[in-house]
Amino acid sequence: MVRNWILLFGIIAVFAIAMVGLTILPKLVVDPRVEAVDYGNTFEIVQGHAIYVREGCIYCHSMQVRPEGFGADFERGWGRASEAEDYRNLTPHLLGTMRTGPDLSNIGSRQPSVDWHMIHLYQPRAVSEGSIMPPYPWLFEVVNETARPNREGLSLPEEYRIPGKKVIPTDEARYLVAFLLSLNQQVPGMED
Amino acid sequence: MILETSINITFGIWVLLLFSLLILLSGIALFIWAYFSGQFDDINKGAQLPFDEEEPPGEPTDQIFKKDESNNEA
Amino acid sequence: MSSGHLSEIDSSVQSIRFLDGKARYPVLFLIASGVLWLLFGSLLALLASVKMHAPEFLGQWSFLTFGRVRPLHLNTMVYGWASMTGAGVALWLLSRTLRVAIPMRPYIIGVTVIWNIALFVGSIQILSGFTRGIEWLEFPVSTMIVIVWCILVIGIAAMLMLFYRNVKTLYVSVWYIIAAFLWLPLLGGVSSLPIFNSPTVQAGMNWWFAHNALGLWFTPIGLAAAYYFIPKVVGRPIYSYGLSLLGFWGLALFYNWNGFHHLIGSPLPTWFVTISIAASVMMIIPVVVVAVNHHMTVVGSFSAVKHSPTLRFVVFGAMSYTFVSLQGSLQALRSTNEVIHFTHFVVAHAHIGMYAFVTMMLFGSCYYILPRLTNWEWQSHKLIKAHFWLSAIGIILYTVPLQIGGVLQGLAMNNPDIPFMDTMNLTIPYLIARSVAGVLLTAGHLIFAYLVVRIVSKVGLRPEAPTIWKKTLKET
Repeated sequence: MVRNWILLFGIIAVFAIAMVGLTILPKLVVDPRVEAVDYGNTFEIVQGHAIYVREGCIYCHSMQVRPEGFGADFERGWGRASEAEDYRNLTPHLLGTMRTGPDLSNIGSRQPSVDWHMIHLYQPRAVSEGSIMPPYPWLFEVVNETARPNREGLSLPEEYRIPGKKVIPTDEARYLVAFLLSLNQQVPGMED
Repeated sequence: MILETSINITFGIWVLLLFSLLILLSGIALFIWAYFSGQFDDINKGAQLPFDEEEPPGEPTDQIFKKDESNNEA
Repeated sequence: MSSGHLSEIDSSVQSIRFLDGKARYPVLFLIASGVLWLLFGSLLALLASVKMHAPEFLGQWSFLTFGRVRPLHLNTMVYGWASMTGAGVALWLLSRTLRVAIPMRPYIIGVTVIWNIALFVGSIQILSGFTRGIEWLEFPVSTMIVIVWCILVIGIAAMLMLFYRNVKTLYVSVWYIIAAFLWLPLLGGVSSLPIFNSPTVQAGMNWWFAHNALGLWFTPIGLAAAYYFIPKVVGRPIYSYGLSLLGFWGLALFYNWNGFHHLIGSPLPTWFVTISIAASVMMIIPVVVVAVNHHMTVVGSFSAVKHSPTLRFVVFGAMSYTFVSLQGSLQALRSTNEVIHFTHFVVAHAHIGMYAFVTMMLFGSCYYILPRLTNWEWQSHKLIKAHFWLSAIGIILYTVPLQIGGVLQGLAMNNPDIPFMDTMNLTIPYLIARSVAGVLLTAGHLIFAYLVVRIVSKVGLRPEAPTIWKKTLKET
């Protein structure tokens, strides 16, 4: 019996030590750094974050810039190295592990055009030749040219236009773009 | 730097040192216990456990593809 | 071989046939459920893979977008196929090595029903966009808690077997399985705590969990299977039992600390990452120990691989474990990670771990366990061989090109003169190769599912001289 308990104790002990080291300690070190930061998260940004999560953008886009000299993130103009304070304090975290598409930490300053983002979400290949990003047509409504006179349709290239129809973004598309435009790490970091 | 403002670094180092010392000592204690309680006396004894009188060592099992024994090539 | 060691088993113990009979329904149900999720997961994998090079394919429907199909593929394979089949195999191994019938059998079956329902609900949740959004933890917390609870109940059965066992010494497989059944509920519980809900800290918890799910749940079960089936099929005890215990404690000490090597270059404090890199390199010790032990057991009887479907899969899995772990140790180094992080190389690496190691190990275990549970013979040797070769060639065709593509992608990404679009374009041929490999793998899975259905429903003629029961039949 004693041997059983010693085995179980050993198994749980090695686990608990590592758990403290890799989850509790980082929390104690990092949490105080982000508590004081005012992120200015508007309703649109919070909603847009949720849509970003829902559509699984994270599986192709990272949101972390590696330090200068480690990879070419800096040389590609993706900004300075990310810091804990840069994240908008929205969970789930969106650090990501894949760069099928480019890093988005700074997309708000690299591409500030709302129209570009709208067209890109509706049909990525309309503005980005050869892209393999999936289209997100369910964030848009296709209506008759004459309907909704106060809403202008997306200015799509000829080949993606539907005759007699116009494409207008839904609220979800507006929120997502608001979130993307909020991604901006141009402000100097705490350690600079 | 940020780190100093969030936790006291000397205090942290002492906690970590004592913590790791505790782990090290308990590891040594467990090893001494294991040694003197005879855990290492016949270390290879456990290797026999998958076998018994029905399926003793020296006799392979699961020879499904052996031609001379199987006549059920489907 | 001294029979003194054999007599250590309590004389009141029932024969292995009796134990297998008691294990029949819970283990069969777990394995059958696993196979069902394997087929569903394969379908999702094919969809996701094709969408990578044909983005317009089924692009109109929100519930089939890449960002939902891909996480569901991972979750069904991990918490459906590998966890369910793994739990079934683990229970059977415990019953065999502890010489005790599986307890709580109605509870295990009931819990498996709940587990299946949770997976079904979770699948609908992810496809409809109701995701937790953390890699490896996409099921919403409420769904995940149910799954973890199911594994916990099965774990309680495992603990009961440990305490009411009929042998004195614990076989090494038991150490691994008991540890796995303790670690997974702990992992699942801790990762569901709301205290980790701040962005950067959550990333740390995320990769601590994700790497440990592989290292502390699937790896122990896979190794436990290897430690049982290799000696059992070859008919020779493990080369060094002492080494196997060293391997176990090495894994327990170092694997726990590995998770942060997924966060090299991230905004988390560097010293945590450095600890993980050191631990990843230390993993070489238990891995080499296990590799030496398995190799020395099989060596000399290598022709057994030709005759035994189980040994084929298990040896393939054991070799993959050595390979994938050593590769993982190298990947954790900053200089290699600088190139391969954020590329398809890591995806391929994960598939060597979860497929070439864990899944192949589970296939091999099923080929040994199912005839003994059902008292029936596999119906077709040719189909078993076809399954093996489709799986083996499929996973090689999957990983080798994708890793080459991943390295090229990483090198291009680290060269600022190359436009970003080109780093993506150069991977397209490798992504197409992956889709082809995916078709092979899926075909293998269909064959396996067909064989499982045949043996469980006992369709077809019983062979005149069933190979597995040859000895017993001779006696009666």
